[in-house]
Amino acid sequence: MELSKEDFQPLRGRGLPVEEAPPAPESYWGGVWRRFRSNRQAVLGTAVIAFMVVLSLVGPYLSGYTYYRQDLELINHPPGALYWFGSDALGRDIFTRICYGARISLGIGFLTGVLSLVIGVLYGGISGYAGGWVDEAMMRAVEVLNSIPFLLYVILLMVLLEPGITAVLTALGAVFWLNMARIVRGQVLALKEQEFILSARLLGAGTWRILFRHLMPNSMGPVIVTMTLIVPEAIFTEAWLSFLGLGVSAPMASWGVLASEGMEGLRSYPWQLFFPAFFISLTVLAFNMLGEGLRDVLDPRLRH
Amino acid sequence: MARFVLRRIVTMILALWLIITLTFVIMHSVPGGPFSSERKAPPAVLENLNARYQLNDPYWKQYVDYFSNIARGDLGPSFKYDRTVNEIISEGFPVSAALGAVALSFSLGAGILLGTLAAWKHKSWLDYSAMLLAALGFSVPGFILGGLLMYVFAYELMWLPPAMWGGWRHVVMPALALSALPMAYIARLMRSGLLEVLRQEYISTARAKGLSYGYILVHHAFKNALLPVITILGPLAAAVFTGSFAVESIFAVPGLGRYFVVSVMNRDYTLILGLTVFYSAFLLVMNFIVDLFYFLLDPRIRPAGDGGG
Repeated sequence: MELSKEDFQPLRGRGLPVEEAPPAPESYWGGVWRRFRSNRQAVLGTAVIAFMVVLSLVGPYLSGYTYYRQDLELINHPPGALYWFGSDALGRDIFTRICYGARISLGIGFLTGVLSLVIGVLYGGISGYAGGWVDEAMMRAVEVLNSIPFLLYVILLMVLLEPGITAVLTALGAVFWLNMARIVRGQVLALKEQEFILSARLLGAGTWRILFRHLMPNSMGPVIVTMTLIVPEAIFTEAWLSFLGLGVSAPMASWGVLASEGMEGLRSYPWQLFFPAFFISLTVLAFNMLGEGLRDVLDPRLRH
Repeated sequence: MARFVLRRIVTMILALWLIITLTFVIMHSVPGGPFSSERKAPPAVLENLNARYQLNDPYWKQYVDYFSNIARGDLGPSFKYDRTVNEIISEGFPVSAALGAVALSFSLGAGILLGTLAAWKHKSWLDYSAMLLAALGFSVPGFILGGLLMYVFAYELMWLPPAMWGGWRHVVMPALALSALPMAYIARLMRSGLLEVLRQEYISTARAKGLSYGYILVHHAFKNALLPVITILGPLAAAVFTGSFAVESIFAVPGLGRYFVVSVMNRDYTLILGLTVFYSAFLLVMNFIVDLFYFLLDPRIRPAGDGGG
């Protein structure tokens, strides 16, 4: 067979058919990102949450008022050019107070989520990984705790602790990790018998490496979803606590405090309730949408 | 069966013990004792009060006394009112229970209806609007919904009285405010449960032998989809009752929830703790009954390890 010099040139330059290598298989997170972008619910939820975060950061500087400045000549002023969202019973600007309230309410929501993530992952991870009687005992404890209506104990804790952000966080964190622990434990239990864990162990990986490099990343999906859904619940609970007079103290105000203040003048100054109500509901809705969306995005097998 | 019931009973007793111990510990960690928050009483008066409420006994004795009192159903006196916690409960609980029962029945009815309609006309405007309603139920806190309802129906339209307690007209708004969240839960569970069942093969078989979609929905899918709804009734009852704290205060309903809020604001410790023990025990028993009911209804479940709440 005759070989010319040309035969040793790359095919691509000569316009001849080339066999393409198959595209690299989609990575897990690549797939997540693709599904996330096309999930309307999740994108919309994220957009609203991002808007709220931005509002909480820049909002207080937009109106030229502070959240504590009182103007007793202009109390209960209706919404308009002077006060965008009206003023409250002490002549404070409701718009600025809502932006500040966003910091508190969102902050409490996020921090409760992180707190229950840390406790829940540790507790559930250990329980599921250890197995046997340790698991049995730890889960029985969760079961007992879970059967107690804990909101009542949140109230008791709040009565004891001085009302304030720390107290709210302590009380909420003490309650919301339970569900997280159960989810993590279920995940770990399902994963730890699988072959890739066995091979990791055969290759000499230690317990901690298996826990943090293999089990945790693989159980992230449901954990993230659970955390996303804890945030709105915490915001909800904080609003409810504030209504009972157990939330953050004046002159700072979470959305719950603003709403319960608005309740007092409801008959004549309904906007004092409408605006905080709108912001709480929209934010909770957005987090729920994101959570539901993420459930589809992170675990396509669990489609409803 | 016996093992499951026994386990639930043990869990319940443990939880009750934990509740009582927790309340005892909390009662005694109140800074300065229950009487120091008010204006300074003369030492002799304080001494008498302490003696009357046996606060001078050693802790273990107080614990045993407290325990045996509760075991006999005696929740002690209120520090602020001249009445016992038991009297307050017997006065307020029937009102709260009536309101809660109306709210729960309404949310069951409406939730099941919405969920069924949504599953029946899956991916139609009916489905989307039912789910939008459910999403709203999830997003508006009960006390805010109560306020909004009050503004619209009492102040603007003047159809319903804004407060107090008496005839059915007083029940409508608080019950609606309380039932929004459970209704949303039930609607979603019902919908996803029905859709899940409708994917099963025996549904295809039923279709193949010529049964109509509506008939299958009612006679085959409905019962199966109802089961998850039943499991969640216990937690939902808890949600309705805790929600009623705020809602009863808004509508000035003379129920136990309002007493609870007032006792929190007054720092009436014995009343708070007594009501907490009462509520917790009540909800625990409710949960237990729901679990038993569920177990009897569904022969498939043999719960192990991961129990329901």
